[in-house]
Amino acid sequence: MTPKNEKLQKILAAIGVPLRVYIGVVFIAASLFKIYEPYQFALSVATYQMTPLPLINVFALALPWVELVAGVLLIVGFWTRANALLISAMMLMFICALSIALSRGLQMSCGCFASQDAADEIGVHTLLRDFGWLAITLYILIFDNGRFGLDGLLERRRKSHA
Amino acid sequence: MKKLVFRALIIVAVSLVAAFFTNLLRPEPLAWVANAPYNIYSDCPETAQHALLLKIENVERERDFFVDARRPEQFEAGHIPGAFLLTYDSLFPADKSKLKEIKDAAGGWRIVVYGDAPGAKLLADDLFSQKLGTVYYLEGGLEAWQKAGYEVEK
Repeated sequence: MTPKNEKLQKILAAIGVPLRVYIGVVFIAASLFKIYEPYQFALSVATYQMTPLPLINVFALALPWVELVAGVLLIVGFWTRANALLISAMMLMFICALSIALSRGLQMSCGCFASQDAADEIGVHTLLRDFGWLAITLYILIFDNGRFGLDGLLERRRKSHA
Repeated sequence: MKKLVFRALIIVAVSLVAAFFTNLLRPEPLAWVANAPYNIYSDCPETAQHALLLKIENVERERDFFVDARRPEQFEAGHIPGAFLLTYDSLFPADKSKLKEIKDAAGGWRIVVYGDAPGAKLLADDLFSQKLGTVYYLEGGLEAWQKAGYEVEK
C-alpha cells in the first residue's frame, strides 16, 4: 500500500468514527424500549402483518438484543465491519417491511422507537430516514475497519507482541 | 466476507442467549411462541363513545367475530356462519358469562354486531361500554351481508 493510499484510508476510517457512534446510539436507543416492553413491540411486529404468528414473539424478543449488542459493539469498534454488515441487513429488512406496509396503505406507528403516537406514523419520511441510515452503515462497512476502535487497538497489540 | 458473516452470526447467537435469559428473569415472561393472534386494530377507542359503524365492504370475513342480536327463530332461519347468538333485550342486560364467552371467542379480533335496528346498534354500544374490545355495528345487517353475495348458515 502506498503512503498516499494509507493516508486516504486513515481519513476515511476517521470519518467513520462519528458515523459509527451515531448509528450505534440510534440502535441502542431503538432497542431499550423494545427490551423493556416486549409485548408492545410484538404488537408492533404483528401490526405489519408480515410475520407468521408463531414467529412474532421470537422476533420481538430476539431483535432488540441484536440491535443492542450490535449498537454497543459498533460504538466501541469491536468487529466493526461484521457489526456494520449485520446492521445493514437489519436496515434492509426494515426498509422492505416499511415499503410493503406503505404500499398496503397501513396507517400505523413505525414501532422503531418508544413512541407509538401519530407523530411516529410511517410514511415516506420514515423510508428516507432508513435509507439514510443504510447509506451510513454501508460507508462504515466499506471504509471503517475499526482502526480507531477496539479492532485497531487489538491489531496493534497483536503486532507489537509478534 | 465469510469471516464477516461468521462474526455477524456469533453476534446474533450471543444476542439470542441474552434475550433468552432476560425473558426468563421477567416477572411475566413473554411466551416465545404467541398462542393467540394480536389485536392490531385500534380505532381510537379513547375518543369513541359508542360502537363504530362498519360497512359491508370493510368486513374481514375470516377474522371478524360476528354477534347476532336478533331473536332465536330469526337466527335459526339463517345467520352469518360462525355467528354467536346474543338476542338484544332492552329490559335485561346481557348475561356476563355470555359476554366472557364472546370476548374469549373473539380472541382480540373485531366484534361485529348485526341484526335489526335499533336493537343491534344498542347491543353493540352495550358490548362496547362493557369493554369487550373493538366493537362494530354492521350497517345493513344480514341483508347487506346477503346482498354482498356471502353465504348464510342455517
